[in-house]
Amino acid sequence: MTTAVSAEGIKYAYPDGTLALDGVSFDIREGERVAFVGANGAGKSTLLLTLNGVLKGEGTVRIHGVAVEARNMKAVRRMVGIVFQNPDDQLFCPTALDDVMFGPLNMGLSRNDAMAKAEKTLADVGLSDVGGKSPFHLSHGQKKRVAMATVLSMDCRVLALDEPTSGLDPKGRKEAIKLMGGLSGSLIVATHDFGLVRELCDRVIILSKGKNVADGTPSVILSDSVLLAEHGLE
Amino acid sequence: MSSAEGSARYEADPVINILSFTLLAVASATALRGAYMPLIVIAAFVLFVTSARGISAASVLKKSLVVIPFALMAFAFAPFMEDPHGVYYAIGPARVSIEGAGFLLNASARSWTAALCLVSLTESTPFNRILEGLGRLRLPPSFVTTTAFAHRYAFTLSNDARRMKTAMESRMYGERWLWRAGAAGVVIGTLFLRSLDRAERVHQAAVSRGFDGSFHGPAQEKLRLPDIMFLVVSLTLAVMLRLVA
Repeated sequence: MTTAVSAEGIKYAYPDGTLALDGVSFDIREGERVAFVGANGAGKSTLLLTLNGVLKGEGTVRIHGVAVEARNMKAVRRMVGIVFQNPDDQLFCPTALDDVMFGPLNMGLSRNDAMAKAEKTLADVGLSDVGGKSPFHLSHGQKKRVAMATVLSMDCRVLALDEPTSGLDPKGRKEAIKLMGGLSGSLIVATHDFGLVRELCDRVIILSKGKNVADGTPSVILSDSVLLAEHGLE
Repeated sequence: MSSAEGSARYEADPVINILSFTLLAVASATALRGAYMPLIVIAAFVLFVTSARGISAASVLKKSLVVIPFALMAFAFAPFMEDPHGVYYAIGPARVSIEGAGFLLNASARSWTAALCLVSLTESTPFNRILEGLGRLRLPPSFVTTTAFAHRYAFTLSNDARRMKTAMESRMYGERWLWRAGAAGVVIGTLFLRSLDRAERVHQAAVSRGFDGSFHGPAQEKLRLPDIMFLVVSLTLAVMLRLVA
């Protein structure tokens, strides 16, 4: 099985000097589902943003062998789709359909092809009837699903989801997990939702103060209460 | 939200809507004095078009009346100015100029008809379709996109402001207005910082989906017969209004 994501010594500090990532290294195989868990401020969201070059720090990241650097950015962003924690950050177009078309249009698809792709993706996430609506008029659960559709329409090989179940009611959470369970490609999830990790992921990595401190299967890592407590997760 | 948003009723071409309603609005606003009949014809036509599209004429009428107080305020002094023909009516101690009163009536009628046209445009065309129309009318894509962003986030921002106001008031115990004003200033400042933060995240979200600073224009649509007829009738009425006094 090939390596989908290879990260070596990623360091990133915000302009105010806060060190968000302090030498994080890991490999993710193609098709693997990996959860990054950690207390607030552990660096999970920052890590996701380094995967497709939105944030650039020290160290190297490779996506399917392609280095995340300026000259490869188009290819990298075609491969890595990021879904932000707050769907209001992700959905910025006048209608849901425009938002789902945004990525395919930037990837060079014609308007008709992008629209067909967007309509199909919205149908896949069970929201074919909201295409013409403003994201502002959708429920939080619908916004989350449309946000996911915005990257699914790009056929990314690696999907990075930031807190995909946060703010969802139990039904919405269940639907989100079902939707993620049906996705192909590699899946990276930054979350506090251990139920989601147990149901969906093959592997879990604990981030603490910008470092990865534990790596293993959910059954092993999530049952180690001492380890979890040590890193503010219990 | 406009009446047209999310509905399945006949949706006219946005370019035709923008051109026709704007043309009628401009023609009404600049109508010659005394052209009341053409103004009535235009108002009736606009109400007929909106009704035919399944939009409540009463709602359009009600919204268009918003312009009346502004028109009255702007031209309130006209009846009390010197009359070139020296024709006045005495109302108590005041002298009302016939010419000025006619001017007030005419200006109000023109303002109201123009407002009716613009309200009909916004009621019959969802905002995203208006933006699409503006794009097809070759307005700069950066302008259209920035307007779309502003419209999208105006709602989110107002929600943020409302939540912050509620949070602020839930911790207030009848403080003085000066203190309240200070607290409101803090809320506005915080809102501004939040907006900057959000703008940064929205930019990150756009960049992560391949945005490189270039904007994609809207799709071209084929014009349909009712749209062409609407434009032709609008143009005819606008010309008629300029010719008839």
